[in-house]
Amino acid sequence: MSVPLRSKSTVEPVRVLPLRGAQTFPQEPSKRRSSRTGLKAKRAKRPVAKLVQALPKARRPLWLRGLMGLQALSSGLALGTVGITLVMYGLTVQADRRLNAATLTLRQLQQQEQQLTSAKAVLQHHLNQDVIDLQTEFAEQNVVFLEPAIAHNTSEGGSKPSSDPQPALTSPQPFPSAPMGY
Amino acid sequence: MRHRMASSDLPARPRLRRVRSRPTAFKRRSRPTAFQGSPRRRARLIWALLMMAACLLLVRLAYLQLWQGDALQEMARQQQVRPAVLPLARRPVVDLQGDLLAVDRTLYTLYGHPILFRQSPAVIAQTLAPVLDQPPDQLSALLRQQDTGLRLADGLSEDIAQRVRKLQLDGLELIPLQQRFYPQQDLFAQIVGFVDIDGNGQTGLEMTQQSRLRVPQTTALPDLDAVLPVANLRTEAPEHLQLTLDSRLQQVAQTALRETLAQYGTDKGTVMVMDVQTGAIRALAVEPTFDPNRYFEADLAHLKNWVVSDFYEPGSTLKPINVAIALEAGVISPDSTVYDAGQIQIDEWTIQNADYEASGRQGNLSITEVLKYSSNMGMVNIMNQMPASEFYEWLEKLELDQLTGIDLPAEAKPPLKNRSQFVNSTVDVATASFGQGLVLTPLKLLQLNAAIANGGKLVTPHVLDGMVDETGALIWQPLRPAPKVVFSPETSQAVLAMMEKVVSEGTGDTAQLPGYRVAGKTGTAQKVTDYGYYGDGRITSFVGILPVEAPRFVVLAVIDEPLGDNIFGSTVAAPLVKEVMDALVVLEGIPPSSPQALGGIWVRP
Repeated sequence: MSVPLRSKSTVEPVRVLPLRGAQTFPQEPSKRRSSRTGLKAKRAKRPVAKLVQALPKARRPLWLRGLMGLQALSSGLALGTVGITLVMYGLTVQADRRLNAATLTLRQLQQQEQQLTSAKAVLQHHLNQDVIDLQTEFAEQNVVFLEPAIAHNTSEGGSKPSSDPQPALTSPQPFPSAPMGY
Repeated sequence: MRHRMASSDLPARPRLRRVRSRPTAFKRRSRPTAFQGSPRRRARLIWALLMMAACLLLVRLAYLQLWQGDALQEMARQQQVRPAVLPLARRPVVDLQGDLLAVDRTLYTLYGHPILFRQSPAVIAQTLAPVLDQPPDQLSALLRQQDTGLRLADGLSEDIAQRVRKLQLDGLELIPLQQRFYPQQDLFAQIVGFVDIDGNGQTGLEMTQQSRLRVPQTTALPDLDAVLPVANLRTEAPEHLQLTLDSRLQQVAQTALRETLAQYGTDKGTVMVMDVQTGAIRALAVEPTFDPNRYFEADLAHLKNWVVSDFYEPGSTLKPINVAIALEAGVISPDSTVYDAGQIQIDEWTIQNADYEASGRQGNLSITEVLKYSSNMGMVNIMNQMPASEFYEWLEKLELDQLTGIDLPAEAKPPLKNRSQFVNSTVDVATASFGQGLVLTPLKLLQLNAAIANGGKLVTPHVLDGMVDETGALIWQPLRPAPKVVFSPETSQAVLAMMEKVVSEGTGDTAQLPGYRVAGKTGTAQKVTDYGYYGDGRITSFVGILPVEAPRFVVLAVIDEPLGDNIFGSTVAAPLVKEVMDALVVLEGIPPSSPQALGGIWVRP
């Protein structure tokens, strides 16, 4: 709607003639209007009147203004949507890359865990075996070892003498050739 | 007011026209071309161009979709498929302490596709040979056999697979495979069993607990739809199948068993430890056994657990059970005496004490002495005091012909002679009274002796504790029948006291454990030959219970056909039980018996 200001210094106030016999308005001391009317005057090479009527501002109908507002709104929305889309796209790409990297790390860690668990079990098995092979006693700090001071005095008076703790059954004699049962 | 008047007279069109007319002023100065005709012509031109572009796009779209659609789809699918993450196939098996007994392990198979090689096969072979530990010439020759699909190596560990990946050679493919791994090697083979190459459990708990050990598999690979990379990852720690066994005790038992077998020149034996109150088995060492990691190399006969599947005549280790039957039936009391003739004749059979020829011992014996000297004749006289039918009913009540209910596969039901045959045969009753003429599994004998130790309850032996989560909390436990009461606490206590005398003063003195009260009973049984007669082969056994003041564990050792001159339960099996008990008291933290009960001990400073 506005005409750019040009050649302010070169334009002099001119008189503008009324167009189409329009009603004459008192000219306002406006540089802008002067410059515009000055250009017209130059081009038309016609005498200008002192007072010009301001060009009527186009009055847009309500529906047009509504549509224009709608257009501005939709443009803004479209721009925002494009921006959000770009940001979201970037985020999803970034998230996907990070998720991939994290997944790879997790998978490797799980495999390492599996390996370490197996290796630990194998090592423990070998250690236990070595301990037994070396005849190392199972000694723990909270175990008290007791040792009999003397042989047991059996107070029970049985029909058999208890002086010989090793009965004949366990004597190193050959097994009887006759069957014990049948 | 002014504006309204102006607008009615001066519409805005002239101004707009003037603004637009500036380029036309320039246009007037330039020379008009063919494309700068009327706006309508230009619009048609642009429309035609746009339509042409749209048509080209449509043609291209049709070409991609209709002609190349399948190929492109396949390419996209290949790009979308992520490196395969093998899901866990089976849940781990752990012992009572949480130590691993069976676990899945990822192994790799390396395939070569020479058609994709960027270097010559010889160079590839030279590079790969040190990693795979194979001769380069052999590898090079293999790589020249065909263009693709060459199986270069099997069973590669993750370390080697990683080294192969770092070589960054085109044309090599690592295929992962989950394989069952048994870090304890042959230690638990007879209990845990093994899994074959198809992932099916073949023996042991791997077979019986297959449904619980198998992890439900989901569809592993993504289709055309986008799939998050974490879709196939394990999100939670797998549950563990926990056993009641202690791998430390198991190792002690297995090593001691092997040494005993080697010493006596045989290869078949077992030593078992069971909690008398619950029936939980703490150790179950069996020989012969096999390495489940290399099950394909094992002798087929060694794959079965003979402890639950083979029968034997228990011999004298059954005497305490028969004494308990007689006490419970009321035909004797703990203070009774019986006459031991040394030898008797029943029909055409001669029955005598094992030491009759050596000692010729005769005379009255207390019930305790019957067990202490393992008197066959004393037992015959005890059991003869009750009707044979009642004796048979007791054998049935003790479920001698039933399964123990252990959660191991292939348990065999011991045969029991039919009632009429047993009742009408004097010799059958006589031999059964000292543990011959009837058969049972070593596990059944363990269960019966546990009943003596726990106050008369027939508990169910088991190796399975349940399913636990990563924190060790029990989330599933198998249901077991309530213990069946077969003896009164008084009876079992009386028999236990007699068995203590066996160890402290009788044939079981080789199982004495300094500082602890141990009850036990030796057994030396003859083996029946293939022709149904007793031969020279013997089965020696010893059952020990400790501590007597509050019995917690029963230990049974059975050695099949030991060789040598001094082959008895007291010389072969009892020392083995002692060795296992030695470790047991420390591992289970069993306090020594009181000094008063032991009759004089001193604490080493």
